[in-house]
Amino acid sequence: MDQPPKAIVGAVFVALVLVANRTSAAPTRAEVNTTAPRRARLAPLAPNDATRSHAPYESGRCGLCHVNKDASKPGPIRHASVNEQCFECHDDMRDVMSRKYKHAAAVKACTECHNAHDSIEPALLSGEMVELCLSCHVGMRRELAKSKTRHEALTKDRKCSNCHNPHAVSYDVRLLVAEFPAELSAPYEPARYALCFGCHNEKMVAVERTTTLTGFRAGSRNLHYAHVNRGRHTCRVCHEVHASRRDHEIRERAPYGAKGSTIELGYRRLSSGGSCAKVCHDARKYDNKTLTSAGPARE
Amino acid sequence: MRPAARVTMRRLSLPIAVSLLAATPLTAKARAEPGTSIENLELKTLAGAKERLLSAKAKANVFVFFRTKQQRSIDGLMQLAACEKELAARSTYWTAIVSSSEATADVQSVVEQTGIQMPVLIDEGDVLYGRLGVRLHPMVAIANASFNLVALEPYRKGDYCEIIKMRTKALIGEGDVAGKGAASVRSQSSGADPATKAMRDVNMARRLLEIGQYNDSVKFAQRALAVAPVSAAYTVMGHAYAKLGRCAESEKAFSDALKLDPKDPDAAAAQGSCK
Repeated sequence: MDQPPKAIVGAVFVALVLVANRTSAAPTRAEVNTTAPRRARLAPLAPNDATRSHAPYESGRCGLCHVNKDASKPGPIRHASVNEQCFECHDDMRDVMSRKYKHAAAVKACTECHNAHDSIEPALLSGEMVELCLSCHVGMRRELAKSKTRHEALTKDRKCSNCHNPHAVSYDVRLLVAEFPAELSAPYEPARYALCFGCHNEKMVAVERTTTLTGFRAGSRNLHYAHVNRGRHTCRVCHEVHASRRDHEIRERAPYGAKGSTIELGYRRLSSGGSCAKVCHDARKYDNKTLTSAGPARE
Repeated sequence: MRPAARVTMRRLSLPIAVSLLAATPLTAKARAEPGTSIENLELKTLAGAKERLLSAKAKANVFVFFRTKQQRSIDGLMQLAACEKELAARSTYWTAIVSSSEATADVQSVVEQTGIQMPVLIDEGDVLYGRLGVRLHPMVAIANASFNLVALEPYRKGDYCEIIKMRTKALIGEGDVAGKGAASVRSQSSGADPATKAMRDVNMARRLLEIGQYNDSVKFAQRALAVAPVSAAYTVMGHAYAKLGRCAESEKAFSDALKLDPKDPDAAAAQGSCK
């Protein structure tokens, strides 16, 4: 009897590994605790504690929002809903909140995240932004707690809102501020990566040969190009977008299929580059210190 | 390979072609650390001349990596143009760095659009970009007179110039220790554009008008105008002045509203009504 081709043996082996490693769909990072105690405080901060104030409060015109003008007894707000009260001045936000995909907290009440009186945070947030977000997004809190590397976008500048609109967007259930492919495999079109390329250099994926644009290369052969551009694999197949226990925010386990299954990637950082386990192809390592035009070497 | 085996392979390849392997993306670790010595390269300028990247005569060398057709680069350079102007009299040396793969016309367009005065140097083959592990655009590098890197600052919306100014002033001995105040600057950023912010004050002015607080209404309309010239602020102000019996000021406010927006129906209807 003929021996089966080695490629089939290898493929079957990998398929068995996949089945063995199949995990439940949607890891708990997506978990949101909607019953978490509200972190946002509504009451004004102690005198001199606040660094910024809401104009009506600062000017002492309590009657703009409350039924009474008296600061010692302002009473309830004038409108039946918090958001309607806010929209009276912030009518631009009424338009924002009419978009299709809305942040549940923002639908509930602006005061879920903002202190309507004063704050030490930008935009009168009632707490530091990441902490505020994680107070409900408990799955993400767990994810970050066990991570080694974090996406810089998460820690700098506008933090979570570098990538997410905390109010509402028209086109993306993830509330992303620009396009980013949800699927694992897609033809390479730079416009579809507008979110990433808003900061990152698209040439990292666009050029076949480079010695400067990325460290993920074998000699001058750009492996980002090989995977994302020619190979049609999207960023999230290999990278965690928030944080990871691996260097370079490489995933420990890559998603595959439509049911949220994952498989170990086995990435290792090496002094001259890195290596991956035998998963999608044979185990390979790449050397970005030696300038040859060779592809990744098989281990 | 036998046909059957080929089919089997094809069937198996789909679920197996799950992922890519490693990648070496753009983390802070790839980026040059403060203290890194920077070679003072001589680079070609956009105008075709040659210019050094750094100047030993300047206490602070500031160079910004940008690319064309990227909104953040445009926004960042606009802020840095103001920064450059403000620090022009100080001991600073500014340059902008762009990849040799960018089209000259596109670069020139960015220079004109943003108003930067600094020379634009061409990074042939992205060599400097690669050495410093820049990876993001725009990115400001600040080096001292000894050509040691002091900071690499990625773009921040709203307060980029303030951060660069703070770091630069620290280097030339006018500010606090580099970076100490940066966190406080970062927290100043605010999202809304000036016109939107101004309209919020206009809406407050309207509400104050409704509840009979006319003087306060005028104040908030003026506050709105200090943020952005929106016609609605003048219109509300006109109504408030009219209620206060200050007809000359009311007329002027309606007139100013119509100058900004000749189609403002409210201002047009109200003009001449204060008697």
